[in-house]
Amino acid sequence: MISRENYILWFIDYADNKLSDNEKGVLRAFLVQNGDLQDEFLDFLEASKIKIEADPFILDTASLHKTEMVMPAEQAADIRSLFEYTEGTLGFEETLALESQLAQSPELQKELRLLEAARVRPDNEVFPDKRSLKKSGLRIGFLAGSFKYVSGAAAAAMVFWLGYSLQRSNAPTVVIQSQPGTEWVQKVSSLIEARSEEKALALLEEQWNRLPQDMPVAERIVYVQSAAGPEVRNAVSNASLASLDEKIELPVPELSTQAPSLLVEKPQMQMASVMQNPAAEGTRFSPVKPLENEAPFDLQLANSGRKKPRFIDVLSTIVTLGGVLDKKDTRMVTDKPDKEGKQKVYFYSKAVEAEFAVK
Amino acid sequence: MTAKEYNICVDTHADAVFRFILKNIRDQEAAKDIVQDTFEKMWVRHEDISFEKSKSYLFTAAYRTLIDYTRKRKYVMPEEAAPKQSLYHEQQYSDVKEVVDAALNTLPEAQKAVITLRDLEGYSYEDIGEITGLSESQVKVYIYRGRMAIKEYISKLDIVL
Repeated sequence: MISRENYILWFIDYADNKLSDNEKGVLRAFLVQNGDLQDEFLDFLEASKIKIEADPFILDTASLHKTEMVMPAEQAADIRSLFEYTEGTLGFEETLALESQLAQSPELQKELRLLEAARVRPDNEVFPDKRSLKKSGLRIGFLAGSFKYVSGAAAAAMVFWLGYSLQRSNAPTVVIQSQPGTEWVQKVSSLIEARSEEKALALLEEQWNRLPQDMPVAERIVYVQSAAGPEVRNAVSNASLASLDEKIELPVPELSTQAPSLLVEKPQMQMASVMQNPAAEGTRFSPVKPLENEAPFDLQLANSGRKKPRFIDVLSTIVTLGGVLDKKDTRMVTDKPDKEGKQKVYFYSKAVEAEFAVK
Repeated sequence: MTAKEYNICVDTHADAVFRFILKNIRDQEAAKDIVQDTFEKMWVRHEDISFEKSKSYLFTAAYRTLIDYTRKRKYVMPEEAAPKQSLYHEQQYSDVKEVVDAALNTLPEAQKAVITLRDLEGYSYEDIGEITGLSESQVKVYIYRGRMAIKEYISKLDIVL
């Protein structure tokens, strides 16, 4: 019996020309009673490349492309029921009727066995390297994913931390010299611009995750830098270790408190802090005091060569300001390009805490 | 989802996702890559995904990656160069599972995916629809047609059941 649960099988059998004249009448009556399914029926026929030359509700067999009768209509009905039976979607009454029929029909029993056998069995294979999928929870996101978690400044902090840790452990001293600002910002920007190579990042994380979790972070950074291939090594170097000859003036505790002006490329560049319900942002964010003015800055996207800046272009600069930024936290408005192809980008965001600590 | 929950997801679902992909493409290395990509996608968004919906997210992401992969593979390996999948062949099978796998491999990609989601994971038509972006009716049609094709394949090989 056709119902709103199994009508699609009737559509299929109609398309395959497996319905008897009597069943076509049943389908016609069903569609008249369930007018909301008529469009679906027509769509189905169209998808099945069946031309309807006559009123579809006449269900004229002659109008169908497919004229080959694959099996008798009665048998098709049985198969339909068997399918529902094996799928567990056959109604109670129909189940009783089918089981009664099955008891008397070896042919039907064979069909049932075939249908039950036509199920896919699971393999025994297991994913060979689950460890490579796991994450430590340590944010090394300045190279990963959506740049969401660790900013360039956090990378700077890592460098600072690395030098500090190595000094404390009597390891070879890493001198962090004093030269803040532009060059480092540009390096980070370049890195982020280049880091569309997700495979390099995945490799970095893979290397990272393979290390013992009790290994000091500083040692892990050094290890990853040396163990990874040149692709990753360059990225890491650009981001952090190669910057060791530059001063990073941000003590770790201060990282989260302000958009650090010392990393700003031009004096007039200031991140605007727009505070909106900071409590709703969760503990990861640490909103700072809003700046007095929402000052636009000129991003000068000359190095990107793009007339229309992408978010990533903006982010690659902004991320160096020490904020953990996300699209949902930011607002970017661009002017039309000037004669030189440069655009002014008005960028507003909350300044938020850069997270880099081990959880 | 926290990092800890994410790692639980790896332990709980990585094998299932791997088997799902492997059934569909029968290429261990490619399946590994797809699983890696899938989990990487989840990790990137793990803070936006609830632990309860992680399995659904994983299979959805895996399915999409699978579709991308098969499309690219078709581009790289045109139909005439691809191995022929014949309904009638002379290969000997040691058990029904092998036959069904062979039959599965003859199905169109969409039918293969919905049938594996149904049979391996026991997803409902509705769940499969959410994962694949198909309507519930389409899912049922694909499963019906796929199941009939597998049944036909088995019966043609004259396997004693």
